Amino acid sequence: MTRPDLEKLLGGYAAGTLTAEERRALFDAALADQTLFDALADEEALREVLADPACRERVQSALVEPPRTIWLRRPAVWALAATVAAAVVLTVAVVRTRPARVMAPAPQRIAMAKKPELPDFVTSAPEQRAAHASRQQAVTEARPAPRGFTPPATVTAAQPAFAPPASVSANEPAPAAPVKELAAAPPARTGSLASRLQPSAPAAAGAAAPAPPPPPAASTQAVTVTSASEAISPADQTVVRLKRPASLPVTGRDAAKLIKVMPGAGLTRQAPEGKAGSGAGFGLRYTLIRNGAEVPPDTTFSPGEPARLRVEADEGGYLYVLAGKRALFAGSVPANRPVLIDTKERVLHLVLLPEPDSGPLSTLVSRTRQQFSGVNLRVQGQTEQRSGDQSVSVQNSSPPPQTGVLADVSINSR
Amino acid sequence: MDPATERPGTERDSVLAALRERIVAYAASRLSRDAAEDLAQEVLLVIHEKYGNVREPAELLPLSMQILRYKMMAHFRKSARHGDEVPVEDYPLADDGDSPEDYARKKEISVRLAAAVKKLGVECRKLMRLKLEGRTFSEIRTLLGARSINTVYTWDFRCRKHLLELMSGSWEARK
Repeated sequence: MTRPDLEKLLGGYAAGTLTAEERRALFDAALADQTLFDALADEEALREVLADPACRERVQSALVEPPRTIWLRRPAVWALAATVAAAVVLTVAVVRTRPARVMAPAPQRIAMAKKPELPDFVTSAPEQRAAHASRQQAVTEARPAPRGFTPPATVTAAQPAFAPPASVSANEPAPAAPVKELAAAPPARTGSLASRLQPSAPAAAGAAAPAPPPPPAASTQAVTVTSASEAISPADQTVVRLKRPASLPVTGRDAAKLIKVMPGAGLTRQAPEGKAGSGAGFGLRYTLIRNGAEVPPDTTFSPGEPARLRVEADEGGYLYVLAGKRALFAGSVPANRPVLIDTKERVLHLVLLPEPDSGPLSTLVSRTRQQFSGVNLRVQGQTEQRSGDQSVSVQNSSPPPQTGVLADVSINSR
Repeated sequence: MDPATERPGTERDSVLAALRERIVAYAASRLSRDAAEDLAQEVLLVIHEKYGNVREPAELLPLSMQILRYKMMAHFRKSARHGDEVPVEDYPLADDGDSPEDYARKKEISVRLAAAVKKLGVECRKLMRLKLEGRTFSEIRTLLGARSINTVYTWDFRCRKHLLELMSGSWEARK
């Protein structure tokens, strides 16, 4: 055995695995070779440790423990890795080959306008409450089903009794029949004011022709208007007093929605009843009231002094009272049912239309003014005819589509 | 002829003479020459007094190496005391068990060795495990399917070299 081969026996010396021949050969060589002797002497420390049972057991335990890199040789590891890879490939393949899923249509969002909250009404006096209660009862009994057809007698019964002013003459000529008649409108009422105030016979209305559509909204509007009435003059007139500021800040499309959702009323072309100056055509009357008394329209108010405007339509329609871009009133009004608006010195625009306006309120005045350009509106002050009546009547006798009234009311101040 | 005793030299005497020469050379490489001479003298004295019946070179050599190791460690400890030397003879003889110092030293080496063998390769670990199980190189060759025993020698030599590198070139921790 050569010397390099003998050096290879050093590992066996410390572990004690050399055979007798190997030991003899190694030691004989170590006695003759200083280098081998030195190496053998250095192995003495390891031999001493491995000769101790406890230390030998510790090293053997370390050899039994699997090395950290042995996991690569475990079949389970490769199987798991292959499973994961196959799952990923399968998922990608399924996703790519599956047709595009039909997307469910997005839920349609529809803009809805809530019905505006009706203003709160305040009765001004106990006796007015009693009067209102009786009137309310009568209206409730006569209230037809919404959008239903009822005999004209019911409609007539729903009409509140109108007490003409004392200045109105009974022999005053009756107003002409409305220019625009509905298809099933009852025959024009002619005759004296007293006779027109009498309820028409149900049998006559029902037997003549199919019953015209009653003004359901007119009845509703009657309830609304009279729910908080206040007698001014005469006693049957009603006052709408709003707790909140009498302004309805609606502009643009909201205004159109507001009009659409409000109950339709005043569509009936009823002849004006007993008001002087209510000539033929579509018109309204407005009266300026100062401290509860009617005053001429050119009355000068003090700055900030409250003023009240009473607007009364000769026929049912849709009334818009605008102050600039703000609507002080927007809604249907029945015939001869006054609407009182508390305001102050400013310029108001009164627009009365037979049909609700579908455009924005902010442009209502300009659109109406453009529509009525060339139309001769007849403006007539009642002061000239009757003493004490300061109302101003505005009439439009033009045929559709130019039916409507636009009046500018300027409340002056010092 | 032994000049000291004027008796014919025996095989044991020639072995001890050779051992003394190797021990002096080995100790001189780590200690001073005088200390190495003294150390070799002490080793041979122990062999002469306590192991007079051991005559085989295969037994004398590992025995002398163990004594040499103990003597060198005692020398190192005595030098670490910086002159506060106490004769070894003044100490009572210890029992056969390891002293606390020897126990701690062997434990330290075993811990380092256990940590190092974990870094060995699979084949080296397998070979070393077989060695610690008491298998001879011939049996290891059979178990590992080596073509010759020299192949096993070579494997063992390389694994031992790698293990020694993992332990920073020395089985014992360098102070």
